[in-house]
Amino acid sequence: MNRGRLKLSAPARAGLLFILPALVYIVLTQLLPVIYALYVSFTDYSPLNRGAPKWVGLQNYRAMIFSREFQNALWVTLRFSAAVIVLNVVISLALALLLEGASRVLRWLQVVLFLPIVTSVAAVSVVWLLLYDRDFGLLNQVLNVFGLSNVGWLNTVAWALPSLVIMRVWRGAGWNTVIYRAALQGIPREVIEAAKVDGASALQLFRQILLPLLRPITAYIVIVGFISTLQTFAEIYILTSGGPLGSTTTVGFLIYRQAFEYGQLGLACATSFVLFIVIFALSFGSFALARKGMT
Amino acid sequence: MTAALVSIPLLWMVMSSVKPFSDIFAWPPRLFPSSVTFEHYARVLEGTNFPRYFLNSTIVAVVVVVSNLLVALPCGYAFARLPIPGKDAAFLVVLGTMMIPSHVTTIPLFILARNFPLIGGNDIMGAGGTGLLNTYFGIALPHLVLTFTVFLARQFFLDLPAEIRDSGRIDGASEMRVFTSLSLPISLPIVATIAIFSFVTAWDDFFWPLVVTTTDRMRTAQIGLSVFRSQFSSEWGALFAASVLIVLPVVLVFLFNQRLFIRGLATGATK
Amino acid sequence: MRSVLRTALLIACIGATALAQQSLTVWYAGNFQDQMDLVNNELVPAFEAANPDVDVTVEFIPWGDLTAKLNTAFATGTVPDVFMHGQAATAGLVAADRLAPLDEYFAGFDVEDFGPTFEQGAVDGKHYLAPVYGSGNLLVYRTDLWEDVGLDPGSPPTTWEELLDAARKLTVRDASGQIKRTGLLIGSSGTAIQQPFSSLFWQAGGSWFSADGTEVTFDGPAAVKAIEFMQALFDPTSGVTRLGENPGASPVNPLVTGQAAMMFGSMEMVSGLRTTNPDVFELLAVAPPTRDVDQAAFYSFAGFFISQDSPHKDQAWQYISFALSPEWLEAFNSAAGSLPPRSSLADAEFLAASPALKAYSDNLQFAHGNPNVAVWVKARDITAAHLEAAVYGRETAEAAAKATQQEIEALLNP
Repeated sequence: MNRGRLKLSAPARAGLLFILPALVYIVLTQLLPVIYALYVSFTDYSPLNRGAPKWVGLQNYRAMIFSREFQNALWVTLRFSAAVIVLNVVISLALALLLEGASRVLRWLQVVLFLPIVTSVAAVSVVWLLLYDRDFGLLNQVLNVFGLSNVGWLNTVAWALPSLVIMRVWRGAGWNTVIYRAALQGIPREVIEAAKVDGASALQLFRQILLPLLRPITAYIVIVGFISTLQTFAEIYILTSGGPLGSTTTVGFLIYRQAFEYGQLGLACATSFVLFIVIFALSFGSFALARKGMT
Repeated sequence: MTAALVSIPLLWMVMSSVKPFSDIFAWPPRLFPSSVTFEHYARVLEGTNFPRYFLNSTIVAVVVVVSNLLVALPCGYAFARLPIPGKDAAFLVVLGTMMIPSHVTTIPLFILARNFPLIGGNDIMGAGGTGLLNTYFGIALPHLVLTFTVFLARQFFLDLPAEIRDSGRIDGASEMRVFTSLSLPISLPIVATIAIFSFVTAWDDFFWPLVVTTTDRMRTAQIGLSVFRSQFSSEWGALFAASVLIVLPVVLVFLFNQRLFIRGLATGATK
Repeated sequence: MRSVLRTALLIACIGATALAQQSLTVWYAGNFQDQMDLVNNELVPAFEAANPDVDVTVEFIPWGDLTAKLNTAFATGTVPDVFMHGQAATAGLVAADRLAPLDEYFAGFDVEDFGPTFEQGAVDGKHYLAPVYGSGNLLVYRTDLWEDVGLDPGSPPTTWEELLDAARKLTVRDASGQIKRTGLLIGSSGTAIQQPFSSLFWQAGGSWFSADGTEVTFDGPAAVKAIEFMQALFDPTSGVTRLGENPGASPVNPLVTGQAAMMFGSMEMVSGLRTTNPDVFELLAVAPPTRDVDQAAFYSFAGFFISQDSPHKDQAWQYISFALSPEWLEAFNSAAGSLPPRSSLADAEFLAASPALKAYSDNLQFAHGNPNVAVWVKARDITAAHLEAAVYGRETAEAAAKATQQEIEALLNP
């Protein structure tokens, strides 16, 4: 009897077999390193030091949470993420709807839209440096044509973060458009036809039919958006190095400096877990919102 | 209009890769070259070890694609379709690991690569040799099963009609048969999606290959790119040429699979 | 038959040498193509031919990724036998017991030729650094623009006042008062502001730490005076440079585009222009450091260290002494246009060919290096953050000097 309860059904056994290799791998290469990092976050570990790291309890967490540097970085990061995600959702949804009714030729556009995300950040960052140049950059030349004066895109506290947002949206919008297009194709034709028969206007159709149906994919884009924007590093490193006046120093940038420039790996790990909690809370929030929308 | 806006930076990059040296430094900067030259491409392909780096990147990316298809795909399938106790909790944990910045897990991962048993001169306890350091497998290590591809696969199979599995079961087929002969043949889109996504991820990685390789012969294309962007060398022409070369395989892979790719994302996207 | 015998003998010989061969790993900092080619295709083969018992594996690591890669190696016990790093890293590495002292090896070596650069890598009287190449941070200016505004390019400024005067003359503003050409370009954050500041700070007689490195001595009249001078340079109405510049990130050098008439620049920068913009390079001149109570300029050297854990320290030294010989050191520095640490190479051909480059070697006598303390990188960033706040007018010079002092003290004695 007991043996019978422990025994798994045939599909469950097959399922375990399917999952096991991936699970073993993920535990080894992802979960264990994360647990190790969690342990390190409670120590004074520095890669340079020999011998066992010293347990320091919550000291790293305290030191970090109360530092102005971290608070500033978190604030910068949240604004950056929020702006990128909102713009990404709006622009890519609009593009996806545009492409939906478009001709075949126009659909090749999505290849173009998709290109930025697969192009080396190092190379496109150099191009953006040229576009953003405050004296001769293409963007300012365009502004001049309209009689507007030059903007110090990467050089002023007011514009540096928005400039990074623009470049980031440029990089990510195509990918999200593809995902939205995919989601739109997944919506049964009958639903839309039925709504049209009922005499719904385009706006009604969008707000009452499409938007609720797209809520899960939007939640997904938001979550992945948080995960990737909160860890942004390379383009900041190249374009602004966190300046001016710390206005583009994100938490991801701070973690890199702590871990590798200052050798404070304990502090870097603690910062990462606080960031993790923030990402998790925001992601969970969007999930909950999506669920609510569905019922 | 949008396409034009989006493509300006890319167009700039392509144009700059065929600009003569003097044009690159023309100020104010200009988009179109005064004459077309392939000297930067020659520099990249002949003056450096780039072809070798390119080969290394290709091998690593192929290893990653194959492993993701062999391991992540069935895993996602099982998460979606098979009754396994505790699978939802396990899936959440898997998702959670995506949220820790890779900078802080580099060192533990490195220890793992170095002490991988029975490889690179290591004994069964993982001591004595260099393990996976400086090997293709080592470079591929963080991407062999991408959390994200498991996620995509799960979403895809959630959408698969249950009748397929049930019809197989009635016929008395094993779960393995149901997966390989009934589910997989209609799963080409997700295969394409996973292949493209894992290819791009492996192809774009910079930091881990830099840390895990120890000889020039094993370096990848992204590391090779850094030669052209050291602060004062200003080899922008070569940088752009190399970038165009690097992005080309990804574009080709996407071009030939884009319809499948989108369908792979489409199914399950509303779940 | 004889040939078979000979082949067998040959194979035996190769086998024997292979058995006795020691493998040596060397990491270079920086991945400049000409340097890599020189080391891979000439230096290492020459060394291996002269030392058949040593098999050298060389790796080049971009400067920006060096610390990350080294830290991973330290954490996992995979440190190379020989690695290159900046001189200011010495104290930290010594404190963590990562370096082998080289005094025993230096005993039989012509260290006199290295002069002050040799002392830059000393901690508590022991020497760890074998200097390979260096650079300084000096005033680089466009002689043609100088002539345009009636300045004599032959007599560069010698005091801070003269420097500010010249810079003001060279600054061009548009009708609305916006700077169109900076007279003296200085970045307003990070090392771009900290390095020019450190030259001024030393000129005013200041120093970050006491000689033994145990006390912070930053705050004082020298710091306040130097910060106030920086504030004058950045002043929105009467200043000579703009806030928010980041010259290191600029795709095309501001001296080339004419956006700047002068800037503090490294020798790599000037050498880079020699290759990419020979026409502009011809118009450049490099000035000796100005004087306040002292004449001083920021110079830094990178060199080889031997890992404390290396089982092949003797072979490691063999390689270092080979690479540091006058011939190879000249070839290596000439490849990148960097400053050779040997005084006998002060007149090396590539330097003699260009007055602008030669200036870096001529002014080596005024060189000050970064303080050799374990917490330097963090202390440097603290200084830079307060300098930035000061030039943005968010902090007074006094407050910035005081805050820098306090934060570095907290760092030194947690």
